[in-house]
Amino acid sequence: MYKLALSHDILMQVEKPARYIGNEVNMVDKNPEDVDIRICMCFPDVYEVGMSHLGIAILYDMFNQREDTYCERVYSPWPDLHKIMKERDIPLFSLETQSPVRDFDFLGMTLQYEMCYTNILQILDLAKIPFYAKDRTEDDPIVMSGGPCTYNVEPVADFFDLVYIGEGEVSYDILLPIYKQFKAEGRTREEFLREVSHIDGIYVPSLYDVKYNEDGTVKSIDPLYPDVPKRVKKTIVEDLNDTYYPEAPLVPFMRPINDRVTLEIQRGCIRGCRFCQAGMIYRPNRERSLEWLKDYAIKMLKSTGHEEITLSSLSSSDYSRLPELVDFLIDYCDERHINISLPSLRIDAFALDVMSKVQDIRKSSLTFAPEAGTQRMRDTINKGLTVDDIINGATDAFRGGWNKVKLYFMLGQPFETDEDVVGIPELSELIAEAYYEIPKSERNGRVNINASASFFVPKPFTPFQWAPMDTKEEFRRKAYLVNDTMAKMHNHRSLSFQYHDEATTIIEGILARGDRRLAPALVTLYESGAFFDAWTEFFDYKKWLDAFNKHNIDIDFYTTRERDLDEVFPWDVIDCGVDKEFLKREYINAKEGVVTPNCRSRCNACGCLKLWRGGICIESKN
Amino acid sequence: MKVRIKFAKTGPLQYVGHLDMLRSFQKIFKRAEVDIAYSQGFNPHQLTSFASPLGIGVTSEGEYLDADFNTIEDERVMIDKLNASMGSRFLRIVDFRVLPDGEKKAMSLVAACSYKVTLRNEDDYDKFRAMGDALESFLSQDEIRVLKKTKKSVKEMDIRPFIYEMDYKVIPFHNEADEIADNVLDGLKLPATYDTPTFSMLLASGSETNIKPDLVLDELAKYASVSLEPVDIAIHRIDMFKRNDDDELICL
Repeated sequence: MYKLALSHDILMQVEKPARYIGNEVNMVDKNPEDVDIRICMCFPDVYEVGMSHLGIAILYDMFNQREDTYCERVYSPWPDLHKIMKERDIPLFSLETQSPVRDFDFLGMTLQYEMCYTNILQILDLAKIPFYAKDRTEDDPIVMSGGPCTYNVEPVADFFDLVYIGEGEVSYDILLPIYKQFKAEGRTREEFLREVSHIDGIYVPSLYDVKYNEDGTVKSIDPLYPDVPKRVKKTIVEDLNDTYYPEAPLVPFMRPINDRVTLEIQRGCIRGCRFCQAGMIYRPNRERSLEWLKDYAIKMLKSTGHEEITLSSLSSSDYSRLPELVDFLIDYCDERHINISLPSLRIDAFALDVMSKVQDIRKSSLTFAPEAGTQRMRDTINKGLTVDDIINGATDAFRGGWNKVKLYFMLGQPFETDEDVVGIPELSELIAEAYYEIPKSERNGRVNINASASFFVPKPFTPFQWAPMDTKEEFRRKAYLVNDTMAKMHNHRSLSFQYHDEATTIIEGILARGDRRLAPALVTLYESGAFFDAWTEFFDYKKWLDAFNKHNIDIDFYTTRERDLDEVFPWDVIDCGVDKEFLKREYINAKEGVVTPNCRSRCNACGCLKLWRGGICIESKN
Repeated sequence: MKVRIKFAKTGPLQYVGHLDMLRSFQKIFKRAEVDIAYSQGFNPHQLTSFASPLGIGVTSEGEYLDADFNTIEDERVMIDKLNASMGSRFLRIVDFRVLPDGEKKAMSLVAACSYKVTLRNEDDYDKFRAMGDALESFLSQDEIRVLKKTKKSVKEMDIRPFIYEMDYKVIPFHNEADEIADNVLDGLKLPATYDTPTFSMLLASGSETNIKPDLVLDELAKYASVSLEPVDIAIHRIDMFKRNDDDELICL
């Protein structure tokens, strides 16, 4: 027999019922009666998005390798089902056993972007688990979180019993046996949380007291007890060739966002772009070996039957064995009719050669991420990409038959002037001109240059964590300036420009560098009907403003205020490996336009070398 | 060579749509590492086509898929290989056979489908009994005019000529999902647990006239003055048929 939590009439009413039935290919099937620990992993967004996430795939595989543990999954019910579940009082259920989430020992959520925060509350609400950790009883699961947003989890810290800081492969094998023992001995959740707060990477927010200054800034964050560590050190996998990775990842029947094998070639990034949080918090850069990658590529393609494989990393071009890996994949995939997708490649002769082999040139576009329009600004953000790199790469590509270019920029980065803003259309124009400089016989119709800009949000643990963010009005003014300037360009018919929603950016700005005082506003917001805020069709800026107003939250305090270099940040309780002193040096370098070399050419003493023996930190330098 | 694959789709997979099923079969063939043929061009795709899409919420033990293979092994081996790669016990291959030269695509051949319709809820049994009682008189009408909705328009038509066979019986219940998942390959039948009122029908299908079982049951319910919601019934497709040279209906 099979069991579904939702009745036939509900499944026939909702959009895409396949989101809620589980039973995917490679799903792990265990009897919950046979295990000691039940974990429900959650990506707080819709199924197709959540099913595309590598992190949960790794943890799902890792947890289920344990005989004493059964890990299941849950995703955010879409608003149509949400409404029905509320009306009919149906508790949130896991996909595997279709059983109530509240019956699990652990509920783990990955926090990948700030705009999912209202969905955390939706999950807790539908699961009938109290929002605040302090209100939970022995009957509730231990609610935990992980992922990039947890490096400043403070705005939602009160909703979690524990937060895992760093790479999940490391500390659960220490934490779970303790849970099992404590459960068998009938110890309380409070005792359990206190015990595991000693483990590397485990942050128990309720064990820290945050005090504020009169001006609203943080005065201190102190552990409540002497045995609780003053700062929580993130965990990393030092050797990526000796760790968990799924050989047979789940393959959903309905199409996920990423319908392909994801091969993670490395973690971290050697570049040190100053706006980039991932580039700092995932340090140090560590590569997987060529042999490991070949082995897993074959295993995963065989077990999933996927027709595409993609390489995942922050900067594929920096992977030292990329040519060998790509050659191998082309060989293997070509005869099996499997596509290869290569994101985050820097456009150069090698990239063009590879791209011409794996893509249809007529359909594909070249992607550059200059992030800023002028060289001065690119030096400020430490983006090591020059106009020559772009023009030469583009010209080679144009000669090879490409005629579509995508350019990614950010507006509103620190120390930006209008000259830098205007640099965006100017750079776009230069690329168009490069196209029309090649003989007409070699051209492939009209060139199409599509620039897009996101608005910059300063993030914790980056050199720009002190920087003021632009106002909503300033973002819009800059976007209009780009647009108007572009319209005046000689080749304006070949250029186009798109920009993100500035209202969402403001909210991201508040949450990214927010503190614990935001939590009650999030509860008010959710209760006013807001969730799925990562989806433009559901995001309602006014609801957010109303909720912040109700709780006397000063938006500018979090967004446009320049922080003092000595300010205590809400996230200072976390040790991500990169020293605050290094980040300060980098902020000052940014102000002065001084470029910092990448980790492969020189160690810049960011702090990671002191903590770990892995990856780029211990490689010999050129 | 062209082959026709017959498969069953049951249980929770009834909620997986037709297009997702198409994509899933591509992955099944890849996992099974069978020598299926691909189209030419920059983005080669497998040469497959389904006989007739199955609606969401409908189960079946008689779905057909045509595919081109470069080489195959013994048909029994092919069935076992594919079944080992389905990735779900609710999806099973029940037949695999090489088509004679000149056989048209299943899609263009389908002339009729057989169905079994039961109730999802025991509380509704009286409704089916009442409808069963009215069946003979319902079918003896000269014509049964219904409003048939298509994507473009709503038109009135007489569906009586397209109900080839229809009967009502109380038969031992068996759960297709479990039976097909576990037993279809060695022909075992699960023991009956309880009796359930069941309508069986053979209806015209295909590109010219396509009559769905819920439409027929809906008309019968109205005829018998029974209120029946579409979600009350469970539709299970048994098989698909084509016409032979003598205009007789035979399995695809």
